[in-house]
Amino acid sequence: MSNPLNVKISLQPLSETKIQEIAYNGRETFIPPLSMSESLTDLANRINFLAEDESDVDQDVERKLTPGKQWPWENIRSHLQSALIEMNVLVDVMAIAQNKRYLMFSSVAKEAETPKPMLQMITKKRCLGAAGKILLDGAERLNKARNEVSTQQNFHAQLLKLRQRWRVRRHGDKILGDLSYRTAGSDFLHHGSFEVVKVSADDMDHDVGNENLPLRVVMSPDLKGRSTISVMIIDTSGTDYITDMASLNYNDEVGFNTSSMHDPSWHKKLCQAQNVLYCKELFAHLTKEAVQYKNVGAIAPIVVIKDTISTEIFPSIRLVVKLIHSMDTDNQQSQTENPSALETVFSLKFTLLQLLQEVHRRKLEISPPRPTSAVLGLTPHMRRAAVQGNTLKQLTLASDKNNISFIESLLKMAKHHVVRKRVVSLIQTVTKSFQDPDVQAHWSTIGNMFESSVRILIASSGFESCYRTVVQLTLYSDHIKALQREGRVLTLSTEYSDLYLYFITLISSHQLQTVQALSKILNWSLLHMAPHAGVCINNSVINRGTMLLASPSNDSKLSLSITHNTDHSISHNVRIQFSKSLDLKLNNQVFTETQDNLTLSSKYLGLGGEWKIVNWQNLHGRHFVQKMETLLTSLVSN
Amino acid sequence: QRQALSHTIQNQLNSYNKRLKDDIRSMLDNFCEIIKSGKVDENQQLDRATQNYYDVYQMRVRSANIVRAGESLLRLIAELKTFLILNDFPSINRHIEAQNNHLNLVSGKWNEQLVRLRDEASVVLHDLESELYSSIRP
Repeated sequence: MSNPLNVKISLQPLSETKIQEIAYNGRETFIPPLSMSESLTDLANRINFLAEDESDVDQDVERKLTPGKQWPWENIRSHLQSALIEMNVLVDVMAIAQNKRYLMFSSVAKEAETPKPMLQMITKKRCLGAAGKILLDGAERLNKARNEVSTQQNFHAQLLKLRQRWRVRRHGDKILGDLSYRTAGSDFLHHGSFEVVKVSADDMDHDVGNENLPLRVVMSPDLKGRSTISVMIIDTSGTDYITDMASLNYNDEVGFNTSSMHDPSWHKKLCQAQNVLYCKELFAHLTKEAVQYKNVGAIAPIVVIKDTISTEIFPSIRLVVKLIHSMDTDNQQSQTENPSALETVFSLKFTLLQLLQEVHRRKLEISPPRPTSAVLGLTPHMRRAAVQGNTLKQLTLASDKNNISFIESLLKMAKHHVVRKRVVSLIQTVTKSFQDPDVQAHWSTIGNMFESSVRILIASSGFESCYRTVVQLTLYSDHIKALQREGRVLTLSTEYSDLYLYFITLISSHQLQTVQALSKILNWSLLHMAPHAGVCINNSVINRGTMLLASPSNDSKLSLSITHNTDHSISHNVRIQFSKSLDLKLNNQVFTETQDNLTLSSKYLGLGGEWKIVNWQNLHGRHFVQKMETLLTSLVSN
Repeated sequence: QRQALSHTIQNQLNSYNKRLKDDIRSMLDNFCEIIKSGKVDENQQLDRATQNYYDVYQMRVRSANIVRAGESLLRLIAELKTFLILNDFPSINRHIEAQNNHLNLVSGKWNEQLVRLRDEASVVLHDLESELYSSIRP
């Protein structure tokens, strides 16, 4: 301002910010201006707080050095300023302290007390005492638990026994077992698992009545109780039902060395459950097949209602298969009360059981694939084409096809059972009603559920060597084959009346045959024999066999007819005829020519005379053949 | 044989081992701590009452821990027994084999007996049939 030129120069800054650098392409990089906070810190950094004294000194020095230049109130102003700052700070602190949100005052800690080791020791002692007490209590509890080890060991011993008999595995915290027949080849869908539970001592005290076993098995409720399958053959023709019943009392008492009496209760329970499972599987098989095959040998369709399968195997003979499931054990005893009924279809029950076992076995034992490269046993066509599946699935399917049908076998067995019973009762009836000749029957000990045979021997006592009729009857489920002595095979129906007729025919023909053999022995000659001569108009006769014999000297003839009546009795009718000369001789008559010349000339003496009926009852002999022998011999001796 | 064990069983065994070691260590550690805290300390920094409470609770908890570890060991023993029973396949196989042999023996014996019974019965039955099953002789 003191410039004498007094020229006004307007100054304008080149840029608001400083240039940091200019790049080669002419681009300028600016230093960005400081923000408020940055400038504040910048300013704060510049303050030299320690410079007060120095400044004072400096100021004094400066004052001394340059006394004239200093503003006289400068000192006071700066003191006032610092006082103001301090006052502001104080006000701020007080405000913050009053607010009590950020800052609190506390009195200065007192002088630490002098520690009292004695007191501390007592406290520690008490603490240790408490700890010791807890430890002692714990030890006591552990001891108690160790005394319980006896039960524990018992539990483990039982578990070991259980493990030896059943499949058990660990699943998480639980011990699960499996009682299904899956490993034996069953593919029944029921999982059949049970859980092994340890019974604590407290629980054991509660049920005093039971065995105090530390182990218990828990299974699904449908496996509890007892199950049986009953097979009944009901004859509905009579007024009262004849019932053959079979129940499964399937107990695996064949335990490991121990009898079932000594088996623990869980073992019995599991066995029962397994039995239930077995019955269920068997019944499921039967039901499935009964629905699948509508008619397999039964005369009526198979009806499945709930737990019952029923059908008619013969007219008015029903086969009923029932699945009986009882929850309590008392029911079992009531069922076993009738042992005779149980034993009758005993075989059916076991064969059913065996069938299922067989099916299981087949499932396990699948025959390996036949090598298509093999030369033996394969036709060229078979060798060219893979005739058999090679995968397990195909093999299982193939084995399934060959499987036995349960219901079919059951029906066959039941029918065979009925047929056998019929033949047995028939033989009994025949042997009781006919005392002459002897009928003997011997059942073959070799047979199976679908086939059995009986040998029937008919002979007259005392004349067995003379003639015997032997017939071998082979019984099937729907027909009977009779193999006769001469090698003829007859196929008979299973009807009772047909069989009875066949038997009576056998007996009458046997008598004819015996007489024929006897006549041969006694030198009589057989003139005629017809086992089935014409039946007359008489309705009471079913069949008649006739025979005509001539004595060795040809002077007497005998006619025999055996009649089979409709009331199933056999009557014999014997007539004899003497030649005229013999007739005269017997009557002590002298031949006279006074009689009719035509018929009574001497050359006709050889002809037969009148037929005379033999008084059969008065003849000596125990039975027909003996009487016949007496007759024949007496006629010859005359 | 050890390699033959499946992974699960190996893991199970390892976990049992670990539990055993853990429990024993826990017992030892807790005991040491109790003993340590039983020491009278001259220049403690905490308040006397606080220190007392601290000691009481610490000792109680630690002694309870010892007891717990003991119980856990007992349980471990029981579990080991169960594990052994369930997984000792060689002995089970031996047992099954023995049982198989026994049952085969029994079934063989029974078969023999049945055959003998059948023979005897057929002989007796033949006589009986010819005596009783045939027609009544005059």
